[in-house]
Amino acid sequence: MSAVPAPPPESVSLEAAVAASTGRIAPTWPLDRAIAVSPWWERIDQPIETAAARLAVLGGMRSAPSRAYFREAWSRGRIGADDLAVARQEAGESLTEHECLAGLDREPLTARLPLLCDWLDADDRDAARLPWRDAITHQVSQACAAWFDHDLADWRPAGEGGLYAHWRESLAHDHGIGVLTGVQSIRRAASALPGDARGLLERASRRLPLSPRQWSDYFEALLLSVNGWASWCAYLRWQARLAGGDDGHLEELLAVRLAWEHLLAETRAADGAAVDGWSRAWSSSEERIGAAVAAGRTDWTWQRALEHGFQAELARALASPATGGAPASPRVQAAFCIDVRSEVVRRALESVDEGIQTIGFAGFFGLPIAYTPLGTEARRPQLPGLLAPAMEVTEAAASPAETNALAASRRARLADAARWGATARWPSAAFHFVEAAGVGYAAKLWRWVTPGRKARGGPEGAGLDDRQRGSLHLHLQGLNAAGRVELAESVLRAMSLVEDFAPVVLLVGHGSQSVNNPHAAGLDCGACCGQTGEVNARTLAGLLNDPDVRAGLADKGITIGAATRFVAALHNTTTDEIALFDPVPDPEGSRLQDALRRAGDLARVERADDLGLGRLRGNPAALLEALQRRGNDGAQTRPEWGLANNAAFVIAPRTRTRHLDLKGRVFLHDYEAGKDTDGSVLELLMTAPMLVTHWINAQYNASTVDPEHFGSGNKVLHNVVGGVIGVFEGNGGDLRVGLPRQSVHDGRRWMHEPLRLSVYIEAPGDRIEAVIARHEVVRNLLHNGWLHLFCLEDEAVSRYTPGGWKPIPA
Amino acid sequence: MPDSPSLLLALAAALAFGLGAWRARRSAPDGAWRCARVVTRFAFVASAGALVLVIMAPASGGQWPGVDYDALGGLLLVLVSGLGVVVTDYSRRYLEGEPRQSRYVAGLLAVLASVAVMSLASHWVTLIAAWAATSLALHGLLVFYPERPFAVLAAHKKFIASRLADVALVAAAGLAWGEVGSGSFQALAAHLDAHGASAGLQVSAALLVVAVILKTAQLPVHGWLIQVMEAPTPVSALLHAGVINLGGFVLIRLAPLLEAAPAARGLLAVVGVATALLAGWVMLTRISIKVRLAWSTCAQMGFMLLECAAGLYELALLHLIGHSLYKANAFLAAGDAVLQARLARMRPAAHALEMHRALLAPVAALPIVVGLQWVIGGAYDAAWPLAWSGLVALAWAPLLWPAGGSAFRGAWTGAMAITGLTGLALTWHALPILPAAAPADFLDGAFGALLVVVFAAGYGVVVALNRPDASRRLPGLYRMAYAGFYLDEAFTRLTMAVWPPRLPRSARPVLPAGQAAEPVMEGSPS
Repeated sequence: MSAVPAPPPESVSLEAAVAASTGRIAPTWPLDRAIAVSPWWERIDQPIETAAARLAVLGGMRSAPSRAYFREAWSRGRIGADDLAVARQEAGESLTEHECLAGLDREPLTARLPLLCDWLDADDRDAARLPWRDAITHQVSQACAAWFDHDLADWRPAGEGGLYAHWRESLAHDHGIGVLTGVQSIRRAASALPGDARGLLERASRRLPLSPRQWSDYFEALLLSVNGWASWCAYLRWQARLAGGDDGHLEELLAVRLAWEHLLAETRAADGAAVDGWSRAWSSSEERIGAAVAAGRTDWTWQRALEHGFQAELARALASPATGGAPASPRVQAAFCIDVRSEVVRRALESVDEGIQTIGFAGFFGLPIAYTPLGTEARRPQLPGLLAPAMEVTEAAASPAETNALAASRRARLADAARWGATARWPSAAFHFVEAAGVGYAAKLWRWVTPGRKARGGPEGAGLDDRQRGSLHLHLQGLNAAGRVELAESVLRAMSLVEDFAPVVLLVGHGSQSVNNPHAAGLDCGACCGQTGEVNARTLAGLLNDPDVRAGLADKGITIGAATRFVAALHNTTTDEIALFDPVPDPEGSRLQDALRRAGDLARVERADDLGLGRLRGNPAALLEALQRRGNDGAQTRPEWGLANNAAFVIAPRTRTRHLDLKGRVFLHDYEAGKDTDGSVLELLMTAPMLVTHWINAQYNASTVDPEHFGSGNKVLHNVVGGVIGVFEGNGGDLRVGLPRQSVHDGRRWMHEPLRLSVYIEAPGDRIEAVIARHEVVRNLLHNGWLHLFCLEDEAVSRYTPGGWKPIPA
Repeated sequence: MPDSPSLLLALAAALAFGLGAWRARRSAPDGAWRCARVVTRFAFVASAGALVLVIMAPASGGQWPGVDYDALGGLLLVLVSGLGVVVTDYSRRYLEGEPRQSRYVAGLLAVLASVAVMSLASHWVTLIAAWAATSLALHGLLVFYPERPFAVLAAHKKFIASRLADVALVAAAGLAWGEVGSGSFQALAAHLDAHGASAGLQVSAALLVVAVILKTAQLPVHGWLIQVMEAPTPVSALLHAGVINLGGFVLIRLAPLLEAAPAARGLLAVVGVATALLAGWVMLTRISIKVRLAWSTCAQMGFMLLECAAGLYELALLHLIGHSLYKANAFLAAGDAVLQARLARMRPAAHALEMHRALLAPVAALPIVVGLQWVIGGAYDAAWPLAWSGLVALAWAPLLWPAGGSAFRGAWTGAMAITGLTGLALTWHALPILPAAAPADFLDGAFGALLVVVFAAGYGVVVALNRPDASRRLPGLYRMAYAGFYLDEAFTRLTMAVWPPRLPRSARPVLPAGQAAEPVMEGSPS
């Protein structure tokens, strides 16, 4: 083996700086699979205070609410003196109460470290040009959009080279940028840039007078200045890694953004003083981050106090003995998604019919599937974003011949739709089309005035009529008989449902109903990757009704009576209607329908006030109609509140919570430690649903505390980019990620209270600790302050700390 | 008082909008929306009634100083008051929770009032005042979020373009008034009829065309239209459906002046064709839905102006109305873009376009287009000149391309679609309510042939995009198109140099070493 010459130390640190900075960017999913993601996910190895300080200094971002928010919570008693005392005590009494209170009157003075473009903007403001930062963000964003769009534009750039090469090419040919910025030499300088990303990174890091020690922070600041597109690149990386590969788009994007700074230095070379002055600002980056950590102590103490107030109340409720347990032998068992919206409707369902027992379970029902609608290539994952699909679900009719005929008929209809689409797609056709058919759009316009009451639609039915759709069933592919039994067993065990099956077991997925809503998928089931739970629920019902599977299960000690029937259903979270996909025979059928209807009424009344429909609380029929119209109203920016105000996750038998009104703030997963002999179910719950709920919680928190950076802005300005990639707020600017303002704010107040998720598990403490010890991710979340964990044992509640369990005084 | 019931109803509609705007401005949001709801519904019913009356008894149109009522204005009024109903209702729900709603409602109604008056204008003074008022009322809506720098910049650019247009219009009016001795359009038409167009009137027509080009966002002064996506979606719907197209209305209204001025017509035709072609290409490269729609409007308006230049006023009016309804819906439905993308992904992949099919398609479409005119028109003249049928055939040709699925079925459904669409267009065309076309001399001969060649080039680009390995084709043209042909940058830079707007600061404070900055923590929970 010949000796490889050691690379120069600088290139080693450049490599490391690129890896470190790109490694800090969390992914964002596309709009058609918009699941919630924690924007801090790639930072959980740092204490939350440090991560927040770095984001503030490098990106101007905030990770906790403003002091004004805390002041308001304090003055109206939402944060009490005891909450603050506990928070201070947990922080090691490093702040006196007086310091905390004094801190409420001023926002901390943490300012972003300037990029070179910021420095020039502050330095000289040529009134006749846009600020550099805005101009660069716009240019980079447009180049990225052209590169990544595969759905909207009919005319795309030649996909050669890479993102960086594409950007360089477009800038080198850009005759407008020089006019716009007043720096005519940009185009020439762009032509002289290295041809590939790595070359640029090397050249620019030599050109800019920063010490290699600062590179990674500076690179991170550059990426945060285009955080939307960086998050998109991180998504591509995430997908590539799920498939076992990797993806270099983040590095390319970094090169693009760094190239702009390089260009500024090059074309402003005469002004070396500015570059030097700017680099001096960076020489104190570490001190600035340290100072921001210190300044943030007050914020995090108040944040903890805010959470303590909520936790104290919930802990008291959870510790109090459960009265009147579940029905001994229920007529119906209904498994719902852990989603906080299920809590409301489950409570309602249990209250209207004592013979119904409800169960909380991850809404993808444990099926790691991808689904492809018949006759199409539109495969989509139906499982949490953390996982890669392991099985395929397709549709089939009674016979292969019929399946093929249906597929061909659908393809022909979809092809006709594509052909008709040409009328509005190509310019000349559109000129004449509006003259011929434009008048017909008057009827479409009327639809905006009077939204109808249509049931939930969606793309699934395209190209099929109702009869055709009805003749299709879902088909789980690629599993042999033993595999099917194994899958069924693992799902039932994870549900803690292995005995005492009721005659009817509902598997209730959920989906929202809204139209004209780019963020619709964000209201659907996050565990199903932003789809409804229909495919999963129907697939599982089919699996568990299969006599062969049941026979196999019986061999494994899970006996499902012949009278038991699994029925898939869908909870419409906009209207709180629950529709069954298969009929339940009478008399149970009509009893069940009646219970579902009455439970829907209760749930709707409970939600009415927050939706501005309080006046209809006394009139269930009118309230239902109003919500059905709301789901069809294309002008409605708040079809429902989604998971706003989520705050806790309870992993315990339903008896623990059955008597409580948890106000739709709590995720609920059934778990019986006694049936989980080897602890494997607990391990699964703490490494999958717990992470998913953390992601959801973190996204709502982030979009609330810093809507400008972590939220996608105002829906009335949204402008969908690249079909599914994301939105711009208005004309352009960076890609916007996170939740729209309308998802967390009703115009008067915040509908989400930003609390870090509190997880309560009814299981022996040592078992929980064993899971924590085995999983670094869980450990990071807990030890670095991203998540609260509590253990429920009989009537005792204790809080997890790295030093052990701390009992919560009753 | 005017003695025509139609004019009375139309004036009542305009007045209702105006009073509504005045009242809404002074009301709390709930009251403002209620007021808008009542006013827009009343105005729609009144303007529809007026149109019905004038169709049943054409003599029931009438005049009053500065205004008159005829089917042309009546159609426009019905169109905008109908849009008013939709946009108001949509906005009421859409803007829930937004600040300054009363101001928004007032702005909306003020725009509608101004357009309503414009639809009745029979005098230069009414026309110029109403058009300027439309632009000023719209300005308030475009900067509905004054904290957004790009909103302010785009609205500012529009403001400049509109004021330049006002200057051109005033000059056009002054020249015409001087020549004719009256500012009334009727007198102008009579004068042209009797004396033809003097040099002064020729210049007046050219200035009118310049004003229309500025107000209709034609290249190269189109930038503002593309960049005003910084206002709530229904504002875009109203702008693209009820305001931007007024240039076409004015040209139809002043058709006698335009027809008497070949140079002005030529300028209009060149700018219109160039915009239709170039903006159409740019549209194909756009990556965000609203900006795509905006470029589409830009191109559509170019095409409408071409129709005016060619004297095809009935088509121009059909275009104005059809595009208005189509584009209003397209903007209001912009949130459906994700669903549309999902549906498109379900469709079977189209086979790459073979060259012989691409060449054959327009040739196959032409006989349908011409034949239908022959069948429907019988012994009468064709509906439009032959060159125009050539454009229609080129336009419909993509319907005959393969789109996945069976080729035979594709050709059949494509031919049926062409037949249906052409039949529809011919049906509208036969409505007696439309204005008559000018003598067709303009499209005969060289200009008509040139037009076919230009649109064939446009077809060629679209064909190239559907050929195998499409993205490697025409990379140079792609870059130009993606950059909007670098036309807007100069206008922006000139704006910033000559009359810079006061832009709100967008970025958060950055702290250069050793300097203090005021902390600003906007947008966080409070």
